[in-house]
Amino acid sequence: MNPVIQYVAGGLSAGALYGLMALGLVLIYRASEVVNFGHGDLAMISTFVAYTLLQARWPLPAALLGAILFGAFLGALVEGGLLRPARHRRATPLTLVVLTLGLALVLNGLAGFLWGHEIRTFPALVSGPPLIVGPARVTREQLLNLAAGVLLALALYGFLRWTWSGLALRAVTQNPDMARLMGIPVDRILLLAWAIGVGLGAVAGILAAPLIYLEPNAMLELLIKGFAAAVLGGMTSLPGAVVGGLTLGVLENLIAGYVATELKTPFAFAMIVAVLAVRPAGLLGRPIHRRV
Amino acid sequence: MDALFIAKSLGRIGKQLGQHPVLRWGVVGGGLMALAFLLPGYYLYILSLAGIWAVAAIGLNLLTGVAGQISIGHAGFMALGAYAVALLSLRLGLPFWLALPAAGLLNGLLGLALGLPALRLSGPYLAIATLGFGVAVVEILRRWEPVTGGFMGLKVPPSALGPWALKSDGAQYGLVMIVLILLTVVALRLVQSAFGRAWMALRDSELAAQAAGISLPRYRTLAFAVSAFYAGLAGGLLAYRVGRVDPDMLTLSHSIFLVTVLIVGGLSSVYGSILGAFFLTVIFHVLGGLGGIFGLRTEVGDLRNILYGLLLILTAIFLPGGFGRLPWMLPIRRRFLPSGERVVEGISLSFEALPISAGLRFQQSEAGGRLEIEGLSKRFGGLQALYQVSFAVERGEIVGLIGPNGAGKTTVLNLISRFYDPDAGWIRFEGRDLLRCRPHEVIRLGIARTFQNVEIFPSLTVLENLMVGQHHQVRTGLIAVAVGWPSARTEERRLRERAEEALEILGLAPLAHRPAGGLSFGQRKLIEVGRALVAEPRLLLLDEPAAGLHPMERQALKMLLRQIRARFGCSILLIEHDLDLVMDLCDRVVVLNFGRVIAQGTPTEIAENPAVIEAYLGERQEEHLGNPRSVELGRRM
Repeated sequence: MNPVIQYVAGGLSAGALYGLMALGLVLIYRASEVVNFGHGDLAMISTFVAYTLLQARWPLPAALLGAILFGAFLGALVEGGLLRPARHRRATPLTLVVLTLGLALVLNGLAGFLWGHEIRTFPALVSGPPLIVGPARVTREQLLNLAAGVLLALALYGFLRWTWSGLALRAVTQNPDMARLMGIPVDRILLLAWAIGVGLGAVAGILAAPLIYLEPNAMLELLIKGFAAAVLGGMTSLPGAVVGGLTLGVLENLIAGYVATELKTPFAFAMIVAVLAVRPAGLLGRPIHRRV
Repeated sequence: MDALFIAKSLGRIGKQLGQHPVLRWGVVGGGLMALAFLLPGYYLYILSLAGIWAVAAIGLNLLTGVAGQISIGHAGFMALGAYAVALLSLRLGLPFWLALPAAGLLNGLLGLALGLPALRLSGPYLAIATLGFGVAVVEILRRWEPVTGGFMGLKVPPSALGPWALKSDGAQYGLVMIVLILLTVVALRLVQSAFGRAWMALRDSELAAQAAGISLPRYRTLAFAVSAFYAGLAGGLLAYRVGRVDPDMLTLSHSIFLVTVLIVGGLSSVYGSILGAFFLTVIFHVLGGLGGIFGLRTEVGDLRNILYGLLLILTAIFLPGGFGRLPWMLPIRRRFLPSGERVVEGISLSFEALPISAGLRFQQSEAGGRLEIEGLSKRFGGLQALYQVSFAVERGEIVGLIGPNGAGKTTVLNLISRFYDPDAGWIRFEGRDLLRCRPHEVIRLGIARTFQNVEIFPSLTVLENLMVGQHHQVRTGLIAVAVGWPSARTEERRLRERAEEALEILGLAPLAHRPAGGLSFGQRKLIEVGRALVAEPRLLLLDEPAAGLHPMERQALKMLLRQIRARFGCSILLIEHDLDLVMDLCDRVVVLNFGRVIAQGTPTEIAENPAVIEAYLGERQEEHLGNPRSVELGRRM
C-alpha cells in the first residue's frame, strides 16, 4: 500500500468531521454573527447523552438520533434563552463572545458533575475488517465518517437551496433587517440555524467519540480543528467549511506522517494564523472589503 | 464632636496622602507588607495567587478593555513566561531578579511578533486565533519533552536575593505585591497617557483615530506586546510561587478565567481587574475549602466552572460595567454621580461664543495649504466612483465640493485621507506626493478632517478628544511614560493646555470632562471640528459640517469657518448639501456628478451653469416634489 494514499484517506475521514464541525460554526456565524465558542462543549454534552442512552440499552439508531435531536434542542435553547435576551439588551459583539465562553464553562462543569472525569470508551458504531477501496485500505469507521460528512453537507445544501425555510435562512444571513421587513420570522429562523448548527456538531462529536476517549474536555481538539477548517474556508462560506475541513485533515495527516506526530494540533493553529495573515478571505470566502 | 473632629482630620490626612503618588503607593504597599507578618501562611499563599492573577488581568485589560482586542489565549502567554523563568534559572542559572524581567521581555517580543498577523483581524477572527494560540502552546509544552520536560514539567529553583532565599510564604507574598503595585502604577500611567488615549481612540473609531495621526499597526502591536509582558511576568511569578511548571498548569480554562476576571471587574478599569482577580481567587479557595468539608473532592472543580460560567454570563448580560459599577447603581449614590453623568443643557454653537481672536497662541500658517488633484479615478467593483477628477484648492481658499448623493464627494475625501488607494491619478499637497503617505501620516503634512457621520471618540472626555487631535506631535516613548519621566509629564501638560485653550475658544470649556458620547449632535460636531483644529492644519477637510444642525447653528458654523480661515489662514475643502451656506462661504465650487467633475468656478458661475442646473433639476424631477433640497436649489438658481 502506498503510504501517501493511506495518509490521504485517513486525512479525508478525519477532515469530514472537522468539516461537519466547521459547517455548524459557519452556519451559526452567518445567521447570528456569533462565533460559538461553546460549540465543542455542546457537541461533548450531546455525545455524553448518546453514551448514556446506549448504556440504557436503547437501540443504536434511536440512541444516536435522540442525542442529535437533543443537541439541536440545546442549540435552539442557547439562541432563544441566552443570546436573544442579550441582543435585546443591546449586547456588543464582545459580550456575545463572552456569553458563549461562559456557556462553554457551564457545560463543561455540568458534564464533569454529571458524568465524572474518568475516561470512557464510546462503543464503535460499525465493525468489520477494513475494506479495499481503489488503491487504499480504509477502515469501515473512516468510510462512515466520510460518508456522513459528505451526505450531511449535501443535505444542508439541498435544504438551503430548495426549501422555504432554507431560503428564509439565506435571506436572514444576507440582511436580517430587510428579511424582517419582508415578513420573515427572523427569530424563528435563528432558532433553526442554531438547532441545525449544533445538531451538526453533535454528529461530529458522536462520530469522533469512538476514535478518542470520552471525557468533558474531549472535544476541545475537535473545536480547534473545526475553527481552523472554518477559517481556511473563509469563515462565511459553507462549501468552504467542508473543503477547509477535508484540506486540513489531509494536510495534518501528511505532516504527522512525514514530519512529526507532535505537530498535529499546533499545525491547526499555525494554519489559522497563516490563513488570516495571508488571505483572510480563506479558500472560498469572498474577499473582505473594508468599508469606510 | 471629638469623633467628628478626628474623622475630619483623618479625611484631610487621607486627602493629602492621596495627592502624593509616592506617598500614596508607599502607604498601600506598607499596609500590604504588614499583612505578611499578620496573616497565616495559607492566606498569604492565596493572596499571592490572587496578586499573580491580578497582574495577568491588568495586562489583558490593557489589550481587551482599553485597546478593544479580545484574547482568549492569554494563559498561553502566562505559560510561556512560566517556562521561560524555569528554563532561564535551570539552564543559565539566572537569579530571579534577572530571570523574571527577562521572561517578561521575551514574552513582550513574542507578543509583538504575534500582534502582527493579528493586526488584520477584527473581533471574532482574533478570538479564534488567540484560542488556537493558547491550545497550541499547551500542546507544544506537552510534546517538546527534551526542553520542557513533557507532561512532568520542570522544577523551578526557589527565588533568592543574594544569600536570602525567598522561600517563605511571606517573602513570596511580598515579591508578588511589589510587582503588582509597580505594574498597577505603570498601567494607570499608560491608560492616562497618549498611549492609552490612542488605544481607546482606535477602539472607538479606527478611521478617526488614523486621521488624527495614530498608527494602527504600531499601537495595536504595542498593545499586544505590553499585554504579553504582563502575562509573562505573571506566569514567572506563578512558577516561583508553585515551585514547578507543567503543561496543564495554564490551559484554556485559565484563559477563560482571566476573561471572567475582566468582565466581573469591569472592562477598561485597572482597579476593577485587581478587585475581580482577588474576589474570584478567594471564592475559588473558599469553594475548595467548603468542598473539603462536605467531602466533595472532584465535584468542586466542576461546581466552580458552573459558578464562574454563570457569573460570567449574568455579569455580561445584566451588569455590563462589571461589579465596580455596582455602588453607583444604588439609589443613595446617585446624587454623587460625577457631573459627567448628568445632562448639561444650553451649550451649543452660538454667535457670541466665538471670541476667536482672544489671546490665542495658534500659529498662523505661513506657506502652503495648496492641494492639487489630477486625473483621480476610483472603482469599487462594478461602480466607477470617480473618473478623471481634477481640481485644486489654493492657499487660503474655501472650496465647496457639491453634487447629488452618490456623486463621489466623500470618496474624494477618503482618497485624500488615504483610506483608499486610487486606481489612477495623483494627489499633491504643497508639492508633496500624498499617495506615499499612510493614513496616519496625512495629518503630519498638515491635513486634518471631519467625518460625515461625526466620528468622535465617545468614551473619551471632550478634553481627551482634543488631546488625541494633537497625537501627531507626541514624541514621548512607552518607557518614558511607564517610569513617569519628567519630559512625559511636560508633554502631557502641553497637550492638555492646548486642548483647554481650544475648548475655551469653541465655548466647550464647561463640558471638558464629560464623555463626548453623551453630548448633543451639534456639540459632537463642534468637538470634531475642534479636534481637527488643534492639529494646526493648513488644509481642513470638512464632510457635511452643517448637516443636522439647527438653522441658528448653521449661521454660527458659517462664522466659525470664516474666522478659522481669517485667523489661521488655512485652506478649507468642504462637502456640503446646504447650498445657501456653500454659496455664501466658498470662494470656488467644484461640482461632481456620477464621479465626474461637471463644473467648477465661483458660486455665481456655478449657479448659472446649465450642466449643473440639469444635474440638480434632473434629480428633482425623479425625486418626490417635496424634497426640500432640490426645491431650495431651484429657488436659488
